[in-house]
Amino acid sequence: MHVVVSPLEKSADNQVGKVEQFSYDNRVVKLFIIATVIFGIIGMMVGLLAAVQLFYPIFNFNTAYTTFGRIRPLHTNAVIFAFVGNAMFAGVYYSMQRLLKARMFSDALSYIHFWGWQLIILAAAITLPLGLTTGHEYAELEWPIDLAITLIWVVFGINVIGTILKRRERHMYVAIWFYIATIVTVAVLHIVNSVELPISAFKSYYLYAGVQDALVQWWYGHNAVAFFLTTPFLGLMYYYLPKAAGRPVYSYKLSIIHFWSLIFIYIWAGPHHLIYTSLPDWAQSLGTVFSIMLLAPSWGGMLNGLLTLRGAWDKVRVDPVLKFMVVAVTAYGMATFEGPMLSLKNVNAIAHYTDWIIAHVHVGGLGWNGFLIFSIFYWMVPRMWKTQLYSVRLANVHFWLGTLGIIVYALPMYWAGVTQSLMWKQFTAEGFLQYPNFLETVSRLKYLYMMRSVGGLLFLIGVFVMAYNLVKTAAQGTFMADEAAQAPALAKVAPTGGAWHSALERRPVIFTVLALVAVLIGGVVEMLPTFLIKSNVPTIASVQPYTALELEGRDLYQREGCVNCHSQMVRPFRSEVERYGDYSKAGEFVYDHPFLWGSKRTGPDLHRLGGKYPDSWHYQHMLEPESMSPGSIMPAYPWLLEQTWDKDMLPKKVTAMASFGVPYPADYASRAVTEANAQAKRIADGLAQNGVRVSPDKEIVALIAYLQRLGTDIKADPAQAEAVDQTATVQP
Amino acid sequence: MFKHIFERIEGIGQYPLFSLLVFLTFFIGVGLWAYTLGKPYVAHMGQLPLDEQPTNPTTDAQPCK
Repeated sequence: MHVVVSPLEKSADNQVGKVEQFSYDNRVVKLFIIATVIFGIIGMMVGLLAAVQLFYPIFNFNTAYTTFGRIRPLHTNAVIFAFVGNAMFAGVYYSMQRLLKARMFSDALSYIHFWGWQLIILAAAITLPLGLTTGHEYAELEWPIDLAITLIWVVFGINVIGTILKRRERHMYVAIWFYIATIVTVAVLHIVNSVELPISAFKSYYLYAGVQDALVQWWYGHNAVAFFLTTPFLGLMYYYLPKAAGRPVYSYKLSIIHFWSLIFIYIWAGPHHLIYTSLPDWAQSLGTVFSIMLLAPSWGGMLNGLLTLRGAWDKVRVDPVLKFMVVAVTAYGMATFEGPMLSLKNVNAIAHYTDWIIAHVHVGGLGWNGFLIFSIFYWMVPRMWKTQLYSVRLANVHFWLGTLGIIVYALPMYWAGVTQSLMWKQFTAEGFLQYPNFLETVSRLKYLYMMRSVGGLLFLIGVFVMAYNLVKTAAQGTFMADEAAQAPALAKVAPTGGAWHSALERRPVIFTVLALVAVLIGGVVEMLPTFLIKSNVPTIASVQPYTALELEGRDLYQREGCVNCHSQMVRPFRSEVERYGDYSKAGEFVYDHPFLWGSKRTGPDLHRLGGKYPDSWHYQHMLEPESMSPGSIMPAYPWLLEQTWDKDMLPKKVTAMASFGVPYPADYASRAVTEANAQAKRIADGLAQNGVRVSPDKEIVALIAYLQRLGTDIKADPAQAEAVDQTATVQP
Repeated sequence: MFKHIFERIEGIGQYPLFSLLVFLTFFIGVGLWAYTLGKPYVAHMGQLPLDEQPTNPTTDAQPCK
């Protein structure tokens, strides 16, 4: 047993207290590690399935629960919140106890946190395939699960803050700062982005609509990447990299600047996800400016990590832990360089809605998060089991499988992104679209999608190799559930000790408040004007609320996850106006709870779909997409022809919308079902004239009603729409 | 109250400039703060992750101080 007393601790300001015996809780770390590996494998297998569905649609299995639209959010939620989330908790619980020289505040809270989080994951795994989704990307879980997340996050927060308060190390290392910022900011993001009005046990509507909803969602989405996938992992980097390299971080001062500037700027950059959309121009520019500035702290942090290895590069050649870390930090550098570049309007014009973004997020997800997780697991497991790693050779095999996997995944996706974007924008000499059929641009990508799935498979095999290696390591060692430690207690500072002492003692609380203020400033400046100034969303008189049946159809569109492949946002480019119709105006979305702009066009944009095809086309297309579009990779939706739409809920849905200010007539809720029945009968009669026999109460009828309504309102009075919306001009 | 304040802002397009100024002030402040930190403090902080008793002497090359 060894007691560490630094020169600073011995100073007059930090009197050393009595040496205390205690132990670190390794059991909760072990549980989180096991959960990470299990959910990592499941989440990546689901991702692989989704990847295969894009070139072999038969793997949608013709059932509702396994279609791409439902599987894709299952994949993203599993890898973000189950794989990365559990790994984050494992790393935080391990490092925090040691950095603060204290056992976690409460074992009970640790285990409530662990089991609560796993139950949330289980709830997600059940509800997402059932189509229970809010429609907000990376925040799809419905309101009861949102509440559970809030509760468990608070438990985690209390446990962490409690540990900080009972620490035996006076000073909080920079890793702890990153953990605090994570806890505070994720709480704010989650709460603001979950303001929903429940109308049943598993159905709710977001309070915000259209442009405002989009801004809130991407403020959340962007900062979820920042504060769930980045800041906690930077904290882990600042702990485990020096440990593995055997030397302190290159510049502690730089880490301070890294921390404050990163958490301060990150929050402002959210609107860069909405460039060239109907978001007000000033908000888009704000996002771009701050994205470029974000490069400085991000690269400062990356360089700080890499330079920590100065003089230790010989170790990188032999130590798999360091190998994984170097690639992780490098991937962080690449992704954080690419992010600001993607926020430039000219780059965004090409990259947005394409597979380029898929490549970008996977360099970050597989490279930065994945490899950092693997490195800290290879570091922690032998130590917690008091043994050596079972096989360094297997870890090296894992390293190369993973590295190759990332390359084989990312390169085809970059290629696919640029290819498709250029095809979308290509005009003939006569001034017509060279590839007017969207499907042509999809067919061109099939082989690239196949290559991508090979990359994903390699990465997944690597994870299996790691799982085997870690299990064998654990089997050959002896697990230390409670690791004995001792450290001097923090000397009590008398209340009369002066302002400086007092400030020091209060530091965790002051610190947490300062971090909260730093992240709130950006959020407030970014969002308040859009919410409060009416001129930001010009109203268009001809835009009317959805009818009851269309509202029902919209919910079905949301349930099936159509938003995962289809955008509803025609950008002001000549190529898009030519392909889809008039560009989208902010005022067209004022009744959209939630907005369904989407972020990826695996299929074409649908905002001007209304009236483009007859009802019978939609009927046949949903039943068998290839019958209308030969070569289509869209799944079939035969259950829409069998299931009946929900009449019981309809009045509640209309009432909910009316409570948000959607201008329905006062008695519309009471006659919603009658109105919907009448509209459904008209559609069914029309279909019958084209030889399609369908009962009006089938879901397909409601969906058709919605699809045929899309983007048609401003056609009633195009001049008026142009007059009120001067936010954009069509660009070449 | 907020609504009133925001409605009176002329040229909401100035927001990015305002943001830039806020950030620069913040950044310079943090930079100065970091610059003036004492050497013993910085050395101690940098050493914190390494100030642990090695739990696995066979693989942990870092000696205790």
